[in-house]
This record gives sequence, structure tokens and C-alpha cells, in this order.
Amino acid sequence: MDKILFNGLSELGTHVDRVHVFIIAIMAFCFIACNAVLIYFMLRYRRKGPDDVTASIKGNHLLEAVWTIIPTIVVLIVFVYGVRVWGDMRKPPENAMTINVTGVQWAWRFEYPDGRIEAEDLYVPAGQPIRLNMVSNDVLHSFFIPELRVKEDVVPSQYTHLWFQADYEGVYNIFCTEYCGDNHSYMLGKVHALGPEAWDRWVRRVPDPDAVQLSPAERGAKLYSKWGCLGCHSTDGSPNIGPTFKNLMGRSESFADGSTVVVDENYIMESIKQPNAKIVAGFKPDQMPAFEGQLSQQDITDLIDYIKTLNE
Amino acid sequence: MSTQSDTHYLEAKGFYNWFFSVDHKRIGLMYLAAILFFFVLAGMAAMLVRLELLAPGEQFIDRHGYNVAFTLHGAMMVFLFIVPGIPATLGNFCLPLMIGAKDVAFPRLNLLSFWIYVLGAAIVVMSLIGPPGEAWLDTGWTLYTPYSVESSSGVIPVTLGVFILGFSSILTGLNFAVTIHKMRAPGMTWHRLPLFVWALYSASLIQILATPVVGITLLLLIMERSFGIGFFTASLGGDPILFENFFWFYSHPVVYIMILPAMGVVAEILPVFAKKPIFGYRAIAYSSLAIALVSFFVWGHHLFVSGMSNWSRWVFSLLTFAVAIPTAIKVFNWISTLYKGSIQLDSPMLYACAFIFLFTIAGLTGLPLATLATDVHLHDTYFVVAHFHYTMQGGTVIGLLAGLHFWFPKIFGKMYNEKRARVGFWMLFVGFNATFMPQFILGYMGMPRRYFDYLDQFADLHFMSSIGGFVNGLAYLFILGNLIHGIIKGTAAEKNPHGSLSLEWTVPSPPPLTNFDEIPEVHDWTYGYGNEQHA
Ligand code: HEC
Ligand SMILES: [Cu+2]
Ligand SMILES: [Cu+2]
Repeated sequence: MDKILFNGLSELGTHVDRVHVFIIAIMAFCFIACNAVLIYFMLRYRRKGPDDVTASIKGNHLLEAVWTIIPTIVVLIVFVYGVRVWGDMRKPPENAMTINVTGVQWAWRFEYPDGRIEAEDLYVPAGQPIRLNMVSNDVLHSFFIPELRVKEDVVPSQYTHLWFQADYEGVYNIFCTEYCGDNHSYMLGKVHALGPEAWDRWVRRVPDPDAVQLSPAERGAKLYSKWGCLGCHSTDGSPNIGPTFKNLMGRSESFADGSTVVVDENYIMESIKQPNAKIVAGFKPDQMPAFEGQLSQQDITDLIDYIKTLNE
Repeated sequence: MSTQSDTHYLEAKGFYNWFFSVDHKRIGLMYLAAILFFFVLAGMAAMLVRLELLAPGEQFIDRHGYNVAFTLHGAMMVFLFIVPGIPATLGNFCLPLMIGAKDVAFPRLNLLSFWIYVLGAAIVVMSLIGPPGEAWLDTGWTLYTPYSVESSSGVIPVTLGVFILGFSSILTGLNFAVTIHKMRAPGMTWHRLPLFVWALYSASLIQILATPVVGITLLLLIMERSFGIGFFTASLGGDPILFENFFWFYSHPVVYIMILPAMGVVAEILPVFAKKPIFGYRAIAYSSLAIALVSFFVWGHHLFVSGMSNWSRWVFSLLTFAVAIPTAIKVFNWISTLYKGSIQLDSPMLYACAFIFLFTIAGLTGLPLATLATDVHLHDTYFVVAHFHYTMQGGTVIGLLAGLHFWFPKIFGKMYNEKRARVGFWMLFVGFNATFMPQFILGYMGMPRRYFDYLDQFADLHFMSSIGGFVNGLAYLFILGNLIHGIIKGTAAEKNPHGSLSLEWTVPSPPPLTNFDEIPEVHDWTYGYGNEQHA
């Protein structure tokens, strides 16, 4: 199991964890102190008989003052400490690289300054502050990287932001932490913090030489989950928000306007790029995001190869 | 109505004499039966949730079923069980007796609020589990927009039901506040009032002031869904965060509607079983009022990462810490009450002491959630789930059980089996902590809440939590079974088995329909227990 606190992955995270530990110490002290006294009294003054003599104390002003003032001071210290560290969390350094994030049911999209778009996997250079500028396409989501101690809701009405810096190369989890419907628990992703060489390769789109070579259909299968198609399209024949992909290729599809078509590669490409061009009968328009400009031609071909494997 | 002082209130038979009785004791008892029924239902949904979470991956229900299960659990627990909770049950039964009155100020209004509750509850339950043609509610009890606007489940009927329930809550609060102002027996001054009454009074004020806000919010949600007006929908110029603000403006104070009465119960039990005056009476009484007041200004702590302005984030953090202080004062005063007492650890006292123990955990784990830097990490993780279950279950439910065991002989005129009551207590104590302790660690590890499935790294702690949850569930069956057995087979109870000085124990058990033949005159406060001889 990973170290829960002080994983040493980011400087800001370490600052946050110091606040965590400071508060944990206060919690532990107060918990033990209160309950030690409570249990001591429960045992020490246990009833011995009906004639026990008990004190008639009704209160003590000095004590009341003490246990009002001391907690007040303690919580003020905690408050100030918390606000100071949090202030740093809200101020991205000037050299931060901005990446736009879009939350959709149920996937994460990342758009880089050069226009490049990724889904599910957020590639960043290690040691570089990253500012995420986030917005939602549909309902509320929340972007959470537990290992780096950052989180912020992703809202349809406004841009929200957070920043982080992964000090070392590594792969970290992304969770959606605001309930967003059926696949909320699968709205996951990964932050890949890359070293200088790997980052350079990624920027120049040079495939990683060590990576295993996948077949087009295998790549398509990955894209299917990566871009969140699985949230709306099943592969087992059951209808969902969108039609199933099972036996899609070659099927005769009828549309809301009454026309029909036999599904081929071009129809699927059109459906992916401009889903509203033809609306399948029984389904709603404007549900599926248009992937025009987001998926490369190569990606679409891979997806089609994958869809072909779903024919029986 | 015939009112003979020698017939006690339980003697009435037949539907009419119960369901149309304006007697506060009967109404309290009917509420008790109703909320315990929903408690068991909502508890079953919780068991389903914990079953599913036994291991990663799909176990017993699919992802949608899971979302429905936690929604059912939360919505029924909050709206049908814990909000009416202690005030509607023990409050209804005890309040007039404790202040020396024959009934509440508006007995018919009291019956009306019970019926409104029944109506609202029926609508909520019927629509939660799918009105014809609509799916089971899957929005979570929080009903956040835009999901609740888009969800294809029966949001409107559930919302309507909760809206109706709100009136029941408002009317009860109003009734209690007026009762406390106007119906006190001669000599029962404000500073002689039992602390349970102070707590009910504070909770009533919140019920009156906060509930209308949620009512209006829910109406807006219904209009949004029906007509697409655009209060909360970004594409129509609305703002979903507005809903969060409205929602928590009610739902944070409501936490104190739940917990203040439980604190009041504890303050009644401690002096009786320690044979000591309550320590710091005024501090406890006024801290209830202080909590009620401050509770209206802290709702923003639910929105620390929701896209609120930075400025309001730190202001709400500061205000939230302000609630900690009156809460801490109460804990210190309760513990001090035990000093140099003569402590009898019967089941009501066990529950009361467990309340203090669990409540220190509940309160202290509020600190990292009120602190901005640490809340960012913990928000919407299992840490929050554990924290509010320590307040709601460790606090309110334990408080309700403490009160039920304490006033049981008065309510039913019978005694339960004390030995089994203690066994039940320990089962609950162990099961509860085993369920929720691991969840604090899960939270620090970053396990998000409302997840149907989870990564392997969380599996061990989830498994422990589920096992604890099953013990927790069984404990309730055992405890309720013992109480029901006591109602049927218990030995007759004395008038005042615990030796309390409060007025409700001066009348027979169970009390006569009219409570007091003559309105008593009060000469001293309720807590004159110490017997030390002053030199
Ligand atoms: C938010 C839900 C959603 C997502 C995500 C989504 N789709 Fe769709 N998709 C739909 C709906 C609804 C339809 C039917 C309406 C229409 O024809 O536009 C559809 C239709 C299609 C069709 C035509 C199917 C047929 O039976 O004629 C294809 C092909 C398709 N989508 C591919 C994809 C791919 C590939 C992805 C992922 C890159 C994807 N979709 C993501 C909702 C979605
Ligand atoms: Cu989500
Ligand atoms: Cu709150």
C-alpha cells in the first residue's frame, strides 16, 4: 500500500500534508484527553450503593472561561494555517502551463496549448507547474488527483481552475468525485508525469519504442473506453443512451426522418464526426458529442476496425 | 373526548382513537412507529450498499442499482427518519410533561403535522421506488442540478413529497416554540427548564426559519424540470451552483435539527445516572442557541471546491470554526457532570456516554473538513461519509436510543430486559466503529464517495467496513427486538425507576391521558441531585 501521507510527490502536497498531520495531532490529543477523563470518571465514580455521597457542584466560571478561550485559540491557529497553505494552492506560478479540461459523462478531455487533444490520459512534464482550466459539457463533475492533493469541481456554467506540479516522473490517478450518474465510478484517468526525453517524444508524437505494438482493432478498443463511447454504446446488444455497436457494421439502420442506410465505414465516420447528421430512430439528437477535430483520422479508422470485430 | 385521569393514554383502542387523537403522547408514539419503520427500510438499502462494496467490481447489483440504493438510503434516512427524528417522537411525548402542561399549544396542529408527514412520506416512498412509468430515483439525496434536471427518474414526485414533509417540520417547530413560550407551569422559568427543552427550542427555531428555504428551492427545481425555466441550467443562463447554495442553506442547519435534540437527551440522562446536578447549565443551554444561530452562516463549507469565490471560501471556513466552540463547551460540561458523581451504567447511561465518546470523534473530524487546505483533499471522499455518520448515527441515532431506553418505562409502563439491552448496545458500538473507522482512512487515501466500483488498493478497508456494517445492522434488529419484547412481555414499570427529578416522572407510568390532574407548581430547577452536606 502506498504511503498515505507524505508521499513526497509534490512540494505543495507536502505542505498540505503538514497541515493534515498538524490537525491529526490536535484531533488525537483532544480525543484522548476528553475520553480518558470520561472513562476515568465512569470507572472512578461508579455507583457503590444507594448512599453514595455526590457533589452538588453546578458549574465553575473559571473553567467555562478556560475551555471557551483555549479551543477558540486552537481553531484560529488551525484556520490561519489552513488558509495560508490553501492560498498557495489557489495561486498558480507564473510559468505554469495551461491545459484546458472538459468533463463529459463519463470521460475527461484535455486540450493542450498547441491544440492537441487527449482523453483519459493527461501527459505533463514532471517538475513543471500545470494549470488546469476546467469546464463541464453536461452535469457537475470534480477533478481529483489524490496523490497530489488537488481537487476542484468541474461545472457547466463557469470555468474553474486548479494547479499542480508533479515533481517526479510517475503515473497518478484521476478520479471524478462529484456524482454524475451511472458511470461516475468509471470516470477515471491518469496523470502521466514524463521526464524530459519522454515529454519531448510525446510532444513530437514519436511513438514510444518500448511500447508493445497493438493491432488497429486493439487500439480501437482502447479508444472506445478512453473517449467514453462505452458510456453510451454497449458491445453486447443492449441499448443504452446510444445504439449498441454489436452487429453494427452492415446492419440496415433506419433514421428519425424515415430514411434508411446500410452501415458502412463512411457512415460510421460521419456518425463519429457529426452525430447529428443522421439521427438513428428511437434515439435523441444532441446527446453524442461531435468528435470532429478531436479524433485523428487514424483514431477513427482504428475505432471502425474495432467495431467490425463486434459482428457475429 | 372523555378525559378521566385514571385512564392512561395507551388504553385507547381502535383506529379512530389513535389516528385522530390530538394527544401529544399518542402522536409521539405514532411518529415513533413511522420513523422506525423508515429507519429499517433505509437501513436495508444501506446493507445493499455495503454488500455491493464488499469487493471491487460488480457483486450483487449493477451500477445503476447501486446509485439507486445509496439514493434510497440517504433520502429515506434524512427526510423520513432523522429530520422528524427525536423532536417528533421523544419531543412530542416529553415536552408537555416536562414543562408541566397538559398538551402542546396547538394539539390539532400537532395531529395535522403528523398527517402531513404521513402524506409526504407516502409520496416520497412511492416515487422513490418508481411511480408507474418512471425509474427509481438515482440523484443522491442531495438532488444536485443539473443532474437532477436531466435524470430520467422520478425527481418531481420525490421533490414534491419532500416539499410536503417540510410543512410537517415547520408546523412541529412552530408548535413547540409556542408551547415552550406559553405553556410552562407556574414557576417553570426559562432557567429551570430541562435542557432537553432548551435543545428542542433551538431546533424548533431552525425548523421554522430554514425549512421554507428548502421548500422554495424544491419548487424551483420542479419548475425547472417541468418548464425549463433556467434557474439552474447553464445553457439557459442559470447556475447549478445556485442550487448548491440554496440546498445547503437549509441542509446544513438541518444537521443541527438532528443533533441538538440528541444533545438535549444526553443532558437529561447524565445527571440522573450520576446523581449530580448538570455542570454548567447555562453554558449548555445558551450554547444550543448559539449553535442554532451560527448554523445558518456556515453552509458554504459544502462548497469549498465547488467553484465559489476564493473570498467566500475563507470566510465560510472561519465561520465554520465558530460552530466548533459552543460544541466543545457542551462536551466539556457533560464530562464534568460525571465528576464526583455516583454513576450507574445502565443502558441509557451507556448510550449517553457512548454519545459523548462518538461525538468527540464526529466533532474533531470536522476540523480537517473546515480547514481549507485539508478539505480540498478530503471533500467528497469517504472521510466525509465517515464524519457525518459519526454525527448522524453516532450522535443522533445513539441519542435517540439513549432517550428511548431512558423514557421507555414512562412511555410504555413496562421495562425491557436490561441485560439484553446492554448486549445490544455493545454490538452496536463495535459494529458502528468497525464500519466507519476504516472509512476515515479510505478518505485520506482518496477513495471518492458514491463509487460503485473501486481500485484494488481500497479493497481491504472496504471489506472491513462492510463486515462492520453487517454487525451494525444486526445490532439494530437486536435492540429493536428487545424493546418490542419489552412492550409485549416486559414487567410493569414504576413511576420513577431511574430516580429522576424531572416533572414527567411525577406522573404514573404510562401517564394518564390528561398528564396532570392539577398543573404542578415548580419551585426549583430540575437538576438538584447532589446530596453532599454543606458544612
Ligand atoms: C453521450 C453519449 C454518447 C457518447 C459519449 C458517444 N455516443 Fe455515439 N451516439 C450517441 C447517440 C444518442 C447516438 C444515436 C443518435 C444519433 O444518431 O446521433 C449515437 C450514434 C452513434 C453512431 C451511429 C450508430 C448507429 O447505430 O447508426 C456511431 C457509429 C457512434 N455513435 C459512435 C460513437 C463513438 C465512436 C463514440 C466515442 C468516440 C461515441 N459514439 C460516443 C451517443 C453517444
Ligand atoms: Cu462523477
Ligand atoms: Cu454543513
